[in-house]
Amino acid sequence: MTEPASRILVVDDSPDGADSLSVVLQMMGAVAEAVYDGPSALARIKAFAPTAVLLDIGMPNMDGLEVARRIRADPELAQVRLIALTGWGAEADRRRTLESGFDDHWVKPVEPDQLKSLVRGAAPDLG
Amino acid sequence: MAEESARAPSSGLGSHLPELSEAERALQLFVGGIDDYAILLLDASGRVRSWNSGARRIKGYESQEIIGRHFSAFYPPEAVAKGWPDYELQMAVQRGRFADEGWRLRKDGTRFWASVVITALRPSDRMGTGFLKITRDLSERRAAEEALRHSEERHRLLVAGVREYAIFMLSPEGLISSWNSGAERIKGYKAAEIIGRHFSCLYPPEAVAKGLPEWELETATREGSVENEGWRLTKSGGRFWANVVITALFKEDGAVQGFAKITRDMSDRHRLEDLLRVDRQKNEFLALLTQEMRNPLAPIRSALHVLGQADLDARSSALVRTIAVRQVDHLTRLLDDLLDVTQVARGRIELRQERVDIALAIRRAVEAASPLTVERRHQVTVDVPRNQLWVQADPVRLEQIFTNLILNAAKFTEAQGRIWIAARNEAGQVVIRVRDNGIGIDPLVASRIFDLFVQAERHPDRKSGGPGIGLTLVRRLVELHRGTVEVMSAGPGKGSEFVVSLPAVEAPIGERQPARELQHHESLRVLVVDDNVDAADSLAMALRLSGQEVRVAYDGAAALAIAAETRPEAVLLDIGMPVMDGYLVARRLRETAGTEHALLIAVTGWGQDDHRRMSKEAGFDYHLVKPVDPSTLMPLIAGYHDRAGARPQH
Repeated sequence: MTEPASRILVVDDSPDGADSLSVVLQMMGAVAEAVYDGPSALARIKAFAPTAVLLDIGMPNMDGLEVARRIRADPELAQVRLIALTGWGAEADRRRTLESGFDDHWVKPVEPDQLKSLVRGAAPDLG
Repeated sequence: MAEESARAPSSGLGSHLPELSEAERALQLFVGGIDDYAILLLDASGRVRSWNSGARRIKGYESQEIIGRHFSAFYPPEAVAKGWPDYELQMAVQRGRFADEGWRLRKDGTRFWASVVITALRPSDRMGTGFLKITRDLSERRAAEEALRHSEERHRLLVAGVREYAIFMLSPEGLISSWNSGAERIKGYKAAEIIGRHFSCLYPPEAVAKGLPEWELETATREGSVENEGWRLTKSGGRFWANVVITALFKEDGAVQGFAKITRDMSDRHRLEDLLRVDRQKNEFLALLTQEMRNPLAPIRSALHVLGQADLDARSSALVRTIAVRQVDHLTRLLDDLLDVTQVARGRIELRQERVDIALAIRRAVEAASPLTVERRHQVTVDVPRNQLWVQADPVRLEQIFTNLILNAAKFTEAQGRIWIAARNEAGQVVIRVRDNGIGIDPLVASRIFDLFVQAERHPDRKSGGPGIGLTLVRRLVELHRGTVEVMSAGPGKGSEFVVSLPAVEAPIGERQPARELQHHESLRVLVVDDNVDAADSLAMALRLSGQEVRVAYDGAAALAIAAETRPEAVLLDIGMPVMDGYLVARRLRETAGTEHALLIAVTGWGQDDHRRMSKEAGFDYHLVKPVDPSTLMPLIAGYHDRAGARPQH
């Protein structure tokens, strides 16, 4: 029996960003799904039961920090790996995402190798 | 002297003094308890006859120790040596009264500064002959006066010597009454040139016109002091940024005695703060721009990865290619806007104005913004009547204005949102409204949303660039067209509405179909010239797909050879090529029979006005900036027949 595939939820208000990333993840063997806003992510997360969420920070209305805080507030979702995806890479930005409950802070564009380790279930910390 | 000797008592010391007369005893009784003054009687030769408590306190003698002794005991040796005590008595006799200030001795030998009044007694005083002497100890007053004089002198020297601050005094009316070396250094006037003039001559005309100098004095009078920062003038008319403190000086009765004014030259700090602010804004803007460019890079990176996979299915391939193209367009637009903003800011954008139907400009803008509105699944509703609303404008810039407003609405509205575009004539103005049901705008930020750096200040994680660059460009372009743009929002979450007003003009006579409309066309002979083989081949392929007959050349010489042979109707020419550049090739083509009327299109990385002007001079019909969007190129080529028809035949 092969080990179960990684399940990754991609959240980005740019559908191009979310869709293209999901295609890449699928080709790497993950089960990936894309949603385009925070409320949709929160609505979908339990049914989809992801191992990891790749979460864009700058989204209108509910930003990624808020989405992360709501996920972290739910004990059922404690095991989900939260990775921030953002164009901002300064130290202060990293600190802020980590304080909001993220496990990692990745700066766009993400290298395929980074995604591969995520799909393989390793704990990549290249951010 | 004879008179005095005659009046002098015959007796010698102490007990031989005559008894006090009744009047003298009354005086003794009256003054005996006075502590503040030494009041004593002297006989005609100057011997002490009576003593009061003030005398005891001031001079230190008990009455029995001093009665009968000559009053010169109270004088320092040098005064006695000069015969001063006797001189005083003589003067008192001559004038009736003698007053003096000077050092006197106490019993213990210490000195005190005394005010002395000696009055010669007359027989009519019924006190016998002699003198009444009243002495006051002025040591304390004198010490205080000395201290004050020293302190004033020290302060005067201190103030006069200060060079870092202009410190000067004003009369209650504002006339300058003193001037220190700092004032001379900072303001450039010598004391002699400025004392007596009104201090408003140190203020720039606009400050004087607003009554600032008077306001400062009034405020200082009311509040005690006033502090202010602003521009001030030097003697030569130069300006410096000053920090000014004016303190009112009051008399004991509360009336203003004058003002002390301290002025500091803050120019260096002011300049430094300016530099720091600009530097900070620039850094924030660069950070914003960097992250803004990372956003489209992410899907491009993903798409390239997908396209590189061996087991790629057709559906994924098509999807990611569409995505990559869209995001490349987005990046290109971002760079174009950035360049345009700097060009407008430097006043280097020329408007090519003509009468434009606003409906056409909006239709083009909706098309241009469609990659993003489609990507984000927005519903766009356009309610603009055709052939009714005309403005005098540069059609390219007009389209840019509305494209940016639609992109901004698309970006700040959640996916599957709504965007409405409407235009009406309102009181001689063509008013265009671009409304969305997106995230809205905080009213506090609304007035500054058109500023280049606002986005960075507002929210470091906001996906921006739209408001960061696009809205700045919108406002500048609208203003170039003598129009206005405003934003309205009921607040966060309530959507936004951008309103552009442009002066309306009459519809043109004999309205014609604009030449740029896409039309059906026959196949054209097209020559593509670019020293970048990939660029030339890919453009050629796109043109062939649209039905043109295409030849390719990779340098200028080959281009001229092929042109001579095939007589192309349209030539797409790269500018920056080695040996023979695009300008030269264009000139040759214009000089050569067969291509003198060809459609010449420059295809280049350079998009500034200077480059466009040079292309025009070299004979190009159009100047396109790489990467060229085939949907831009096709209408140009398609319009060739109309254009050729309009051209005088040779």
